[in-house]
Amino acid sequence: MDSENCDRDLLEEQSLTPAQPHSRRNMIRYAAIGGISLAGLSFFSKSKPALGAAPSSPTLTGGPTDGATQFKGIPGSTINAQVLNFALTLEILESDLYRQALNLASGMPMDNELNANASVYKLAVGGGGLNAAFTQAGYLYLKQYAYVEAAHRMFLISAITAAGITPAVKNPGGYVFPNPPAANIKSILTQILPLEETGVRAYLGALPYLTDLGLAQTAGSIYSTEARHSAVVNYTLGNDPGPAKRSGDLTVIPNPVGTDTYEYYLAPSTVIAAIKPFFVA
Amino acid sequence: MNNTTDLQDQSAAPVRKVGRRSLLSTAAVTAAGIAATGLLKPSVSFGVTPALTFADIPGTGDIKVLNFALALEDLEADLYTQANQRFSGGGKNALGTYIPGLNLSDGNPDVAYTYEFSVVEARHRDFLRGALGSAAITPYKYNFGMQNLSRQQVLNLLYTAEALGTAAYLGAIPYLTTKTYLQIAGSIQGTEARHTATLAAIADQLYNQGLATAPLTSNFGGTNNGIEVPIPPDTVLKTVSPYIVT
Repeated sequence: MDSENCDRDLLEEQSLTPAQPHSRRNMIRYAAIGGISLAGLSFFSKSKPALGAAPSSPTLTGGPTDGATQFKGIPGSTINAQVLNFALTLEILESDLYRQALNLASGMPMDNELNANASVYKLAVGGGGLNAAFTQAGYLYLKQYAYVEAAHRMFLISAITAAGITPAVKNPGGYVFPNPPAANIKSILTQILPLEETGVRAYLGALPYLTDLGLAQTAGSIYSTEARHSAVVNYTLGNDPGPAKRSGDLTVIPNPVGTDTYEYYLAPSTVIAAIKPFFVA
Repeated sequence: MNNTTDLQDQSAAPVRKVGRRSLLSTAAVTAAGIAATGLLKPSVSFGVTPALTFADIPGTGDIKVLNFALALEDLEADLYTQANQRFSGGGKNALGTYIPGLNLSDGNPDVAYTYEFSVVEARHRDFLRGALGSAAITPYKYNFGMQNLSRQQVLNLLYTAEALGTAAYLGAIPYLTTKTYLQIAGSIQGTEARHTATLAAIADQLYNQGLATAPLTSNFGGTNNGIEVPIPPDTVLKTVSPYIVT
């Protein structure tokens, strides 16, 4: 396990609540009980899916065939491994910038690690134009999602490692907001929003590259939370919760009736290019 | 539906069908958000019996999954139509029951987004029905006891239905066979997730309910490390069967 990417203390602190998992191994098992099929990872070893009621087909057919081009530069010897590491690359980025954003909103040094104890974080900035209720709510969402994104990162590292694959690692230079947020909730959420919206589009775009159903369900379950985050950040900022078309967005269903009725997606290579400005060289 | 049980009183209502309560409890454990409102409890006076199962959904493979999705979109679209009636000037639902309107201003976030999401859900329904053509499942009629629901209960019922829809799409993924439909289903599922989260945020804003807008980590009371929990098709159908009128 890469200790740089996965904070053992944080995990264990989260596990102190009774009836909660007490180790990383248990965390994974717990996730599996909850329906996240780590059994799907068995696909990496070409074994059959172990998803409860037997699906009518063990693997998915069709889909794009340009994976080698789309995931260029993402580690992994199989397309499934690359998709998972692509997801992990995004989660490392997201969780790091959420950490920085939470520090900023809490009046703490930007480079502080995410504290295992969430109660140390207190709102220390203004709303930047948001009313008091939305400022408080926005800060709460920022704090909650910071831990969620960290959990996604750790979940993927654990899952990838358990499958015998080398996980993608944190950028050695770290990450920055290309447009640094001002110290207020509106500005901070405004800079967080593109990360979440890109995350939604990245997962939906990567989904058809996966060749197994268990993995697709796991990826879908993370994707879904990114969509929720995007909606709530939008709502807090006074925007429509979406989906709302952005520059370069692709549509799954050709010529849909109405606009913004379905989630948009981006090709993986587009996502990889789009997140480059967040990486410190 | 003069013998419709008021959802407000259902905690005290007798349970006609042995086991249904426990089945729903299981569903509630699977998705804490479903249990949070307490609204998705069975009616004792209507509903398809025995509960529908995935085996009752017509078709095989992707067609079956799309019909399952269509059944849910049908329900959601009808629920939103009735919710719009309840929030605005009232009207009759598909069963002919008159739903008195609460005459709320569409400047309210719950009213405004109920309307906006109703348009989206109707389009999802129409898309799936059109794509399936003659293979499409016959639409049901639904009784939500809407005429008796308070404004807050309507919002919570919408939230519950969207949360269930979100989890249902994920739960159906293992039954898909082609990547085309995987991505199409995903593009609908993401909007259900956005709706769910937005309705939770609105419930918190209006009623300070403390609903989680998304799956959270354990230090915030979450149970699955901030990852959405799929619900299998049979469980989903058991949960919605009490609302289906046959």
